[in-house]
Amino acid sequence: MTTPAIALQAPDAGPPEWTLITQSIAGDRSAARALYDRHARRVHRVVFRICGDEELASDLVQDVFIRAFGQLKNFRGDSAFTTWLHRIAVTTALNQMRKVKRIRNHEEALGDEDVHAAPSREADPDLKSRLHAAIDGLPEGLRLTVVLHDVEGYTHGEIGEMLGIAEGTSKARLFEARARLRVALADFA
Amino acid sequence: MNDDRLEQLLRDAKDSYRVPADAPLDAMWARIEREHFDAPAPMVHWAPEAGREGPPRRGPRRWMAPAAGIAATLVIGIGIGRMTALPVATEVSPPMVQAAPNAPLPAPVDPLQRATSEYLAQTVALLASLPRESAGQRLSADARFVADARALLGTTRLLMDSPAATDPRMRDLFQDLELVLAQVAQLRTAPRAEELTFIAEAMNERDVVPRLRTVAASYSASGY
Repeated sequence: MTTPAIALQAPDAGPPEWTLITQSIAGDRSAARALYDRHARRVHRVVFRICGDEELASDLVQDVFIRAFGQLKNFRGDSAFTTWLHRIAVTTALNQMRKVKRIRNHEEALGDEDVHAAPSREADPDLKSRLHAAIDGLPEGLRLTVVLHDVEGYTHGEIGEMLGIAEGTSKARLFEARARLRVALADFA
Repeated sequence: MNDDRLEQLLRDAKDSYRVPADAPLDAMWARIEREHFDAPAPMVHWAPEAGREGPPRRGPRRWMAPAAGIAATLVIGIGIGRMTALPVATEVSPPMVQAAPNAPLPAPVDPLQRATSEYLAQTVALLASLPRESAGQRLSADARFVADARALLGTTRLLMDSPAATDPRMRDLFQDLELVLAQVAQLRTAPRAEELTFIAEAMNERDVVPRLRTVAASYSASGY
């Protein structure tokens, strides 16, 4: 599956990103707000897809932007701003998830029983829910790769940057994750 | 389940898997703006947040709370030390520098020595909480961790110019700590493994942590 690199481009027109970044570093609140408006929805969506909890996702988005603005002066443009920002988002979400037990409880509730329950082959909504449960049941590294690559549309290179892993590792994880998903959904022809 | 079918399902998952409700952009921005733009300078980030509104934040490092006080005490202590020890220091310094490696440290003198003792304890705590792996847990040790390192780096440099550095072991230790803390202060939010490896190697090559703990314990045993 190929992924659209365009997904990482700025979603709307307006001042160039670098202008907003430099103005934000200088303390311009309206520029910072514009930068936030440009990226917050997607950051929110990504962290929600990682953590699965609305309230936690909102907290995480705030943490992400507070950190990002705090470190903006260190952003040198080695990667796209979106990649840099989403790296902070993914790291923040993962670190926080490990600390929050309600997320663990949520994952336990989606255990093997759900994944291997008797399927209803006719109903597509059931297949979807089975897929979602199967994704949730993947080990963290595999699930993250599926979410970022297949659901969010990041390239393996971008995922590698965000997770601090090699591009090849991301590919291998996706391969493994899909193999597990196929097994989990084997009852559906 | 064949590959094509799975790919189709995953494509559909973009619109169905954990789709969040509309993000409360304005409410989230309120806290971001307050904490980023309205927050005081980093040194006072450690103040209690009892009156703060909004979602809970991770707690500040309580052990760093007195850092600002230490820096102020050091400035005063260095001044006092220089004013009171001027003629003696120049004449007697050679024998003092020749102190045996295992000789007991000079008796602490308030307030500089007390500040030094607190600085040593805080540095031990910071280096002990240094993240060990890039993909690991405390990574982003967050911006505050780096800010703490910067504060301690500044204190280290103050101490290097203070009477506390007349003892050669202390001077050497401060120099090594300056090198290590300078690297920690440069860490990014998500440091790569090699960055952490360099820091660990710098500490190991110079036995920084054992020496630091020994000196800190010596100060502590002296009542500081």
